[in-house]
Amino acid sequence: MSAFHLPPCAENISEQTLSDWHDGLLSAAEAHHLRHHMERCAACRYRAQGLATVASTLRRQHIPNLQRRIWRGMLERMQRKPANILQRSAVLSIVSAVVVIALAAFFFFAPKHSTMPPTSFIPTATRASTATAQPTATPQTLTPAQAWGTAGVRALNIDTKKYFIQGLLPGGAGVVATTFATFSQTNPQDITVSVVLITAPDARVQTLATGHWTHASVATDGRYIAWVGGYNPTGGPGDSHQTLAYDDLSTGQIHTLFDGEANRYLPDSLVVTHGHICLIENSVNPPQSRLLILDIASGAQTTLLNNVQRFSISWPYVLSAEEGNGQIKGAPNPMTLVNVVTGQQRDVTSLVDYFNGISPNFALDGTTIFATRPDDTHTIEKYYEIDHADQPAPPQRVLFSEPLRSYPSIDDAFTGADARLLSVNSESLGFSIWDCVLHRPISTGTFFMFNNGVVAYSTSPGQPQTLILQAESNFTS
Amino acid sequence: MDVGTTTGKTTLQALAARWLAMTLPRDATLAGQAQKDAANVFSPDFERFFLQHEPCLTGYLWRMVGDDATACDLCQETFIRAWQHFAEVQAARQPMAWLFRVATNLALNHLRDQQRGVRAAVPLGDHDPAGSDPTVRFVERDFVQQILLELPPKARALLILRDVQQLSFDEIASLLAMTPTAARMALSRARAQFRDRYLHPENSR
Repeated sequence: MSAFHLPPCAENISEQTLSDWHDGLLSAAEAHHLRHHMERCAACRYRAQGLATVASTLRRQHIPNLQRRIWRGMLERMQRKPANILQRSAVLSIVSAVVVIALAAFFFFAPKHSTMPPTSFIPTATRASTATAQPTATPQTLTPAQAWGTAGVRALNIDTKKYFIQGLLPGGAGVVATTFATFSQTNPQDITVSVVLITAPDARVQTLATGHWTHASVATDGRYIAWVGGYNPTGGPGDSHQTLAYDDLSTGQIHTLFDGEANRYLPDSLVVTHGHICLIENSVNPPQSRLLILDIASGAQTTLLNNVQRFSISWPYVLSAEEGNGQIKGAPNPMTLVNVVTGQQRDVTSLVDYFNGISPNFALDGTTIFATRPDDTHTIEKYYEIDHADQPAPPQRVLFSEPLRSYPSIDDAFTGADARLLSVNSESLGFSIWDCVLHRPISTGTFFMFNNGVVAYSTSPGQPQTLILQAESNFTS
Repeated sequence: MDVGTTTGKTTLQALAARWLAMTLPRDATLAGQAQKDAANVFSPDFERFFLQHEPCLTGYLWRMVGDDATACDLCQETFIRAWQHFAEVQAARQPMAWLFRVATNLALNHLRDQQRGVRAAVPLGDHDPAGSDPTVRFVERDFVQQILLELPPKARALLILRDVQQLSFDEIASLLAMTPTAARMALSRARAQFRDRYLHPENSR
């Protein structure tokens, strides 16, 4: 079905309105009206979804790695240009030398009452004529780019045992992390946790917030840094609390969105993307776990789905795994793919086979789902790519297989994905990155995070304080 | 990517003045720098700066001009200017905004000078963007680039700066010497144009 075969929009909703909506520029009322309208208008749904496709298509476009070529060219140009300048300088020097000689002759032969010392001119001309700067040295190193044999790399010296890295700023500009400000093994009340921003290149640490928390999560999209901190040592009600706040990096202002009873939000679910905070909100009565999406700029909050257990987001798409209904033994958990912008949903339960606790690994990239599934013998786990899951009967293929094993952490087992990268934790905190296009692994390491187009890793187990930040687009086979 | 908010209105004249300020002292600076850095052409700080910002800038310029060689040239020129004004760039609140400004001017000037014809988008046989075959993905890169190159240069810049680099409309307006409202309107047209050609190449011929 294409827009050309759809009935035209009855309300003549303009491209401008849809584009503004895509950018989150409509007022809450206008956005509500449009969302309501799109439930009925297939043409607008189609057009709006197309706008999201434009952005994701452009972002996924593979850019060639030109870094070495650019750097070499810059060196050559810098070495060429001074020579040209010096050629010009030489001409000027000859002219000025002639002038100087003439002036010197003038002063020599001039009446002795002149107060101008003749030598004051000469050294200047001499210096100009002997300038021979010819930079030939190459820069000291291109490390760590050279060391890792690829580009777009930077090293950040962070003690990863002290700072728990939780998010990466775009462009390798830094990381967001949590750290213990004070710690006591005996009294939880003496524990304080700080949310910090560590910026490249000098690993400068800036504390954004500190609280009497027993847990804290932080996430960023490069513009906003949000965190959930909570104090709940017993896990029950009583003297416990939770805070949800964010820092707007463009203004440096911190805004608190919630400060109250503990356990309201699931800290580990926190995601910040495209100016939106996404996280799961719990409620006891009625027992619910809702996936909330908060538009930071407008303050508008939407409950996207109910009964959500886990989700993966690749703006504007969300892949959500819901709680099983418990009615059918052995049935996979319901899974839904939602376009946040258009509100369109698709049941993808049959595609992913998500079984809570057995093989709960999935990640979303645009409308491509990466997921794992054990084979019939339950000894091998297969890694699937399901392309364009928003379409009927999407093509899928097995990328590779691995022995089914107990992962150190369920969440670590499948931390992220895009069109070319896939993280697979195996032993300890090891990982491999898989090139989904060329169908082979392209990198391995000992620590891994994928966030905001940056891959963070360390390849040196003995030096966990050195974190390598690399643009994901620069991973090449 | 957030490159900070732009304060004050930037007019074409202001951009031109800034442009002149950037280009006029160039030779003198180069001669001075060449002597100062005969041993090490660029300082370690600049190397780090380059490593940090190059991927983003190359991505922008490559999408703007559509070929490796030109993207390389323009990127080199941008960074050499940054080197000549490195103290100023380092002091800038958002160095990336400085780079984008120079790169945008260079790219638009280049495209204006070139005025080269762009091939119309050709449906690639059974091309289907939804295909999962690896070859198709590489073909798609060229397909996407072809559609981008069909757009007017400013529309192309708008699309990339907003949908890829995620700059705010204030920042984009400042870079392209237009008002934020005009930027929104032009972007809406560019998006629709790109979308229709991408999803329906058969109708864009």
